[in-house]
Amino acid sequence: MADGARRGLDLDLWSYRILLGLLGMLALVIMVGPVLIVLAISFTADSSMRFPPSGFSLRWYEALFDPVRSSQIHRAAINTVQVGLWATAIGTLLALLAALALARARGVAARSADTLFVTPLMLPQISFAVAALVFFSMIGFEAAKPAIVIGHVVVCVPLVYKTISASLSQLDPALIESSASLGASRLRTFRRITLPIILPGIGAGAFLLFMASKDNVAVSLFLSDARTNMLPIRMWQMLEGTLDVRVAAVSGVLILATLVLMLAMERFVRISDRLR
Amino acid sequence: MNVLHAPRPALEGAALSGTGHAVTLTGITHRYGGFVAVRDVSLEVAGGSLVAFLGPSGCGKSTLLRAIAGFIRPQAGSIAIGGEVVDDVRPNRRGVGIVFQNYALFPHLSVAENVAYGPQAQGVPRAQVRALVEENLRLVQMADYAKRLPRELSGGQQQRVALARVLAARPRILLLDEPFGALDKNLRFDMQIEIKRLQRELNLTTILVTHDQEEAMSMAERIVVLNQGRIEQVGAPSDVYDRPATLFAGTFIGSTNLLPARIAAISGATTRVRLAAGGEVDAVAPAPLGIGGRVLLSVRPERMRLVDGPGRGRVAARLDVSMPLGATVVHEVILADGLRAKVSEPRTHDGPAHRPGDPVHVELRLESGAAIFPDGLVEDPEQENQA
Repeated sequence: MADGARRGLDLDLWSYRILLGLLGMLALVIMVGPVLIVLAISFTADSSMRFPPSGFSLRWYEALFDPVRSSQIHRAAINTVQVGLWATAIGTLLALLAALALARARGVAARSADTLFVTPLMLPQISFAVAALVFFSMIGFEAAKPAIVIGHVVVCVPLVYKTISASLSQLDPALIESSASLGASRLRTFRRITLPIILPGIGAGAFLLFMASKDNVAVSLFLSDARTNMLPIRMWQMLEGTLDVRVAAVSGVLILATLVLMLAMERFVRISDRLR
Repeated sequence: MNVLHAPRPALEGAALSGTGHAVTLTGITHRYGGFVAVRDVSLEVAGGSLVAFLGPSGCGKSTLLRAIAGFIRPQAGSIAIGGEVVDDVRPNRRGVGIVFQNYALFPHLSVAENVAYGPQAQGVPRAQVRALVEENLRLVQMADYAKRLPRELSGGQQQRVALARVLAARPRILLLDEPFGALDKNLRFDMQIEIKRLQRELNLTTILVTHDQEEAMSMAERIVVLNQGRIEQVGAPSDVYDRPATLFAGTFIGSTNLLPARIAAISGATTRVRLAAGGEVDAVAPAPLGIGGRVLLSVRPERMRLVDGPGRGRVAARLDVSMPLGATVVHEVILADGLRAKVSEPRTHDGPAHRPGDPVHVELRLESGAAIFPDGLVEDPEQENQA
């Protein structure tokens, strides 16, 4: 009887494991499958986005890197990188200042500000994009690129604010107090103790912000004008109009760039630990 | 690691922290929200002495420490170091070094960089910084570890680096915030001796915050007993132990038996009390109340012993349990009124003279080390504290 009970238990355990394994595989297929498919298509010899491709060629990459044929894509990519770098620089600095100010504050105002700074994560981006468009045209702010930078900062700043806050909350206050009682001024303490210790958190947050900005569609769509096309929007237009296979090649480049950046971030700030 | 018997480096006085600055607290009061952490504390810590702030958690000892370090500004009162009022002086200008319980070594800096941090922050020239680092690492016997990171060190090693770091900054006052709590027992003892030795040689005024009464007793020249934000007693360890000023001081430091009694007679320094458990005993202790007053007689376990027959100063009891504890045996006896008391005796090699369940007599030896407190009365809240 005891044997039977144990066998029953094992069956439970095994069916649980099998189910869990299947769900895991399914998740993996859903997440990785499309990436693999788009990569495969980007190397197609066909002139349409058919899967499976009938042959291997680099023609779409050649077309993508051709400065004449793909000048619009290049302009959009440059815009995207520029906006991403500006948004990352400004957003990280603002988030750092906000996190430093609010890290140890316990007042109602401080807690409210803390909540306010992460609301863009929950707020529908599209609503903010519409509101920003109306607002900017109302005050006569016409420069598209700065407007997109501001928009990206607003919607992406919670990511970096949260990672920096988390780093700061793990910082032992006794380190700051030790530094002070050893004779260090506040500035010196910040430079020699606080900053080096939270630097990986800042790096991880900046990375996330750049990635989010690079992918942003809603804000870019509403705030860009004809001359400041952004890469994700350009890709959509290409696909919408002509089912251009270069879109797959762009995806391939983006995937590769992301992989390289992630490996670099893993090496320097162990980003996978910080996203837990 | 035994630092007790390791060879000691010679001290080169001039470059080391110095010395003998007094700390004066005057009427310190501090609240956190509605909670009064420290209530009107006045105290003088003599220059070059080692004083322990002793009390349970929440007694205000850490608040006082943080106030002296300058991390908090008390709502009332004033602090002077070496005669100079430091109320408006920031922590980095106070010359107060602190060693935290978790040592708070800078995790991204090497041992040598940690020790160099203070002198560098104070603008000491580079060559002199290097000399200070070497000297202080040698002082705590950590010179071989200069290039390591803190996480590569054991707890005891980390503590010694923390000590070297604080000494390299040449503080006027050294604060130790429960510094031995994270060490195991043997290492703790070694470090206590080590710190005491350094403190003496440097003549460095040191305040040790602890809730461990044994630590306070063994290290400090004076103990400040704190409870609920107030000073209960200030005195040498033997004073506090033998002549506790308050019931709290008597019970918090060491273990003691509190025997209900009434005052029967008072003659000079001797008070005769009639125990509720039966019998009368003479105690050399001031009477807090008049004749007939209900009191608690505080008797340390080692001031009692088990005897066979009745007699003067003896109380009938029954032996319940005997526990050998190293060099002593602790007996728990049940007195005639049902109260339990602990009796501590040196352990003999003859084997136990009494067995559990035996009727015994307990002899109270109260020529010193006894105290009498009023029973059931609220203690006078306006009691003055003087150091």
